[in-house]
Amino acid sequence: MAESKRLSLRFGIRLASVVLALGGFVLVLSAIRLSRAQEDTESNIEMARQVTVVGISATPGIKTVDSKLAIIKSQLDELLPEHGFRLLGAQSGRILAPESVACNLNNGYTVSIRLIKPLDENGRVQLRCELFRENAQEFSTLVKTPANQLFFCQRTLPDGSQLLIGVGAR
Amino acid sequence: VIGLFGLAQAAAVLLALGLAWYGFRPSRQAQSTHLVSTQPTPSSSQGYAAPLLKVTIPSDGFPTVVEEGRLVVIHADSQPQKILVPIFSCSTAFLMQVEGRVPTVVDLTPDATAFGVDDWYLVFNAVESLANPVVVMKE
Repeated sequence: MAESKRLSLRFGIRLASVVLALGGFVLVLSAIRLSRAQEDTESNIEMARQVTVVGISATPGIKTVDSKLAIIKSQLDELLPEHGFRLLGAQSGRILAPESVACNLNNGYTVSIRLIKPLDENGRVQLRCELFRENAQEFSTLVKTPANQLFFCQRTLPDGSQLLIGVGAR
Repeated sequence: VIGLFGLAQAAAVLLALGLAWYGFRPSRQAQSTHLVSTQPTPSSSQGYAAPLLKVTIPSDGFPTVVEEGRLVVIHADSQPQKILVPIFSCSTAFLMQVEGRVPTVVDLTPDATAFGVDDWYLVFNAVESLANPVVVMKE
């Protein structure tokens, strides 16, 4: 009887110490996680990015190129050969997350680039690209891109021309 | 014996905590999908009914990850698609129906021999100057 009492007492003490140790362990993990999340949020909030967006109309079968685009004609030809190019609009702004740069393309379309994360865990900038037509969203996508590098979104317009949207962040 | 039992219990609890801590975080957000419903399909003539798992891709689609030095074009014309995928495991089988928009991503990076990253860096500069025109000289 006394033996079983002693055993159960010993078991109780060990169980209590295990529970206490686990509690401490969980508390330490929570503290580490909270401090990391806070550091990440603070660094992300403080970092601004220069976000640039350009909208270009590309019409097949014609050779005319907007004079403002003459300097980049050869590169545009790589994207869409045998097209004529016309600048619809361009905007650039230094923004913090979650601000956005909007560009009116003067044909009923507006493109908005929202800064989601100025620097993610893989060293990329996270941007959300949204295309609106008369305030109705037509397209939305999240892009994780290296800084100082352009990427493009392309959409066919009802008149058969292509809408080319170039986006980059520094 | 009781000590070993206690240690085993602690290990099991730690394992469960670890799984709870790390297991529910998706390894790649790019593949996160929104589960809508699961429903059984009508029984076939043999009396076998495979459950149907419906998965809807969010309207935002999948994130696009651009690699360093790649020239990427995201086509925004994609129409909603529906794909049926049979899934077999050792004890069960079910059908997964995935539907939603997935933007088409095209890599137009030219061959390494001809590709100059600086070309597109210069394009970036040119585009920035289009957005912020500067008056060079004024009378």
